[in-house]
Amino acid sequence: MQEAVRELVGKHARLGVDASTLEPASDLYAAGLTSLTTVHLMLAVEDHFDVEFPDHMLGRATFESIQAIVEAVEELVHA
Amino acid sequence: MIRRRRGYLGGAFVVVHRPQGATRRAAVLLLPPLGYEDTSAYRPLRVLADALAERGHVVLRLDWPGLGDSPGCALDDDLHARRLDAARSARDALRAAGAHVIALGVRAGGLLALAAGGFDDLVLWGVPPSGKRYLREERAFHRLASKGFGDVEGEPLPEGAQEAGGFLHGPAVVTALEALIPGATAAGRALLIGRDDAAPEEALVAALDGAELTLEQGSGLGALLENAYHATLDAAVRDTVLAWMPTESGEVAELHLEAELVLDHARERPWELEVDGRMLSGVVCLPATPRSEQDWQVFFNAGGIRRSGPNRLWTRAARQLAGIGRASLRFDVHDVGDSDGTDQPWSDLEAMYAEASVADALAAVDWVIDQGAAAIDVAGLCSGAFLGAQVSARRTVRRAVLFNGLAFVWDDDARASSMTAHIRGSLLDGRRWRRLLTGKIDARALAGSIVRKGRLRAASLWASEGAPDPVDALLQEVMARGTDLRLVSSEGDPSIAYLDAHVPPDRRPPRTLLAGADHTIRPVQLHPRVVDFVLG
Repeated sequence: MQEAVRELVGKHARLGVDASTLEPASDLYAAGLTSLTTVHLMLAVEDHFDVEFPDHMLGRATFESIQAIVEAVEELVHA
Repeated sequence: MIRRRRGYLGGAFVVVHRPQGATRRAAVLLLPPLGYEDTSAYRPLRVLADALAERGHVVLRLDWPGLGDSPGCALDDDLHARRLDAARSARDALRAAGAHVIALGVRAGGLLALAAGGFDDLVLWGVPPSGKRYLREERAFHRLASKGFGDVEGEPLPEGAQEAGGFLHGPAVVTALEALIPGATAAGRALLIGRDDAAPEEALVAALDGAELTLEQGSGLGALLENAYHATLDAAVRDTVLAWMPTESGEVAELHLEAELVLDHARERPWELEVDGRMLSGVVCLPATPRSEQDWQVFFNAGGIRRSGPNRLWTRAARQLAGIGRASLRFDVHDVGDSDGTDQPWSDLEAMYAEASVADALAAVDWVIDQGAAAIDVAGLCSGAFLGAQVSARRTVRRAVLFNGLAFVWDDDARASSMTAHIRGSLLDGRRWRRLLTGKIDARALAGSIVRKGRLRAASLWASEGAPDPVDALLQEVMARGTDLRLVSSEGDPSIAYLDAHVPPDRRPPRTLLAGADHTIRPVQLHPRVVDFVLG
């Protein structure tokens, strides 16, 4: 799942760095993720994993790193 | 060569782009996004309209009612219906002029195009599959952006209303948007462009089942919507649209536009002024019964945000000022909004603080003086505060209300201060970090800036030793000219440190702190206070 999330980050987050160089815990906002691109990333993650983030998960903490996204998706998949 | 004409049509402010010579029969009604996205996309969509007009197409752009320079407020119960009426009126006007009418809708503008219906062809870019999904995206955007501002005191939002990026969807609009689900739509041809790196939404493809469909993997939406400072039109999207357009020739007659907008307590009309060979655009707002010796207000752009102001605050303030008998001009300096200038986003901060922008501001104020103004007040935010300070030092200004000014004098210290402030304030603009990380900002120059920033903090000390600080000197000059100078800073905004570094406490103009606000004064609960500051 981590590699799938990394690929989605690479395609949708419009970062200024190569997503393949990011550590799982790297701060995506420090790497250039904005509020707007987070929404685009959120939609891509939802489409890919067929999940929907509930309102209480629509915060920066959910998308601050590849690892955080993976954990959020796992929580939704296993809910 | 193209011509642009501004006016009012069907209850909306519109701009018509028209080729100088023969026209093609296919004309475009350009329906922009809503709210924050509209603010960002305004200039790039103007560039797209120009590109279409250069190929012979008449293009009509509109401001949705409740946004920009159109009438209406976010909380109007009939706002959604008026938006659909505006789109239909524009469609009908183009058709009556002989055009084959193509709606080009971006984001929510596309949803509204589908709801308005009756277009010959459609171009939909980044359009969500439903109004409900759009509102969810807006909610997510707001929650993600809200790190930049805090909890504020003030009136709670009306039940059912939704804020996103400093703009409000009123309860009636939310209800109407939630019900928007594109049904089977008649169109001859349709070009669907998805979000960045995504295919068009399946729901839209299904709704346009009977049309001759062209589907494009998306690109450029993020670049279009990022923010008003950086937004740009993706060349691939532009070329895709241009290549898709029908090429049949056909005369499209001139459209009749109303020259003036009549509101309850105000009248508005487009304004133009040529400065150094460039045409500046704006809107004049007059009281319903103007006097011969009139008090005037001039509003300045906030960075790349068009004349309607941050979160449309200047339009709102202008109309309230008219209600108490004061006239106003809100206008775009070159490169911004509808004024002449570049088709590309600014590459650095220099343009916002250039002497040419000051010249534009002075020319606008001189025009107001020529109208016989009895007194002139000015207001600006961020780089608009810079323009306000510069104008107040060179013309007779009764009152200047300057919000979150990061620089009042543009020099090396200001460059250092603004650069570091903008980067430190990256919660508003993460792309600066990206530019730094990718080498688009020179790290050595940045380091030098930070060193100079350290020097900057000693500026007031230098002033006490006899060397005049240019910022202090400018503000003292403004006040010495008799201007009632008022500064307003969002709590924690870099404008506070900037003033403190340059002006000793006993020489500072009155300053008010806005608790809980971010740099562009969000959330919306704070907007009435901003308008109150302007009204004085």
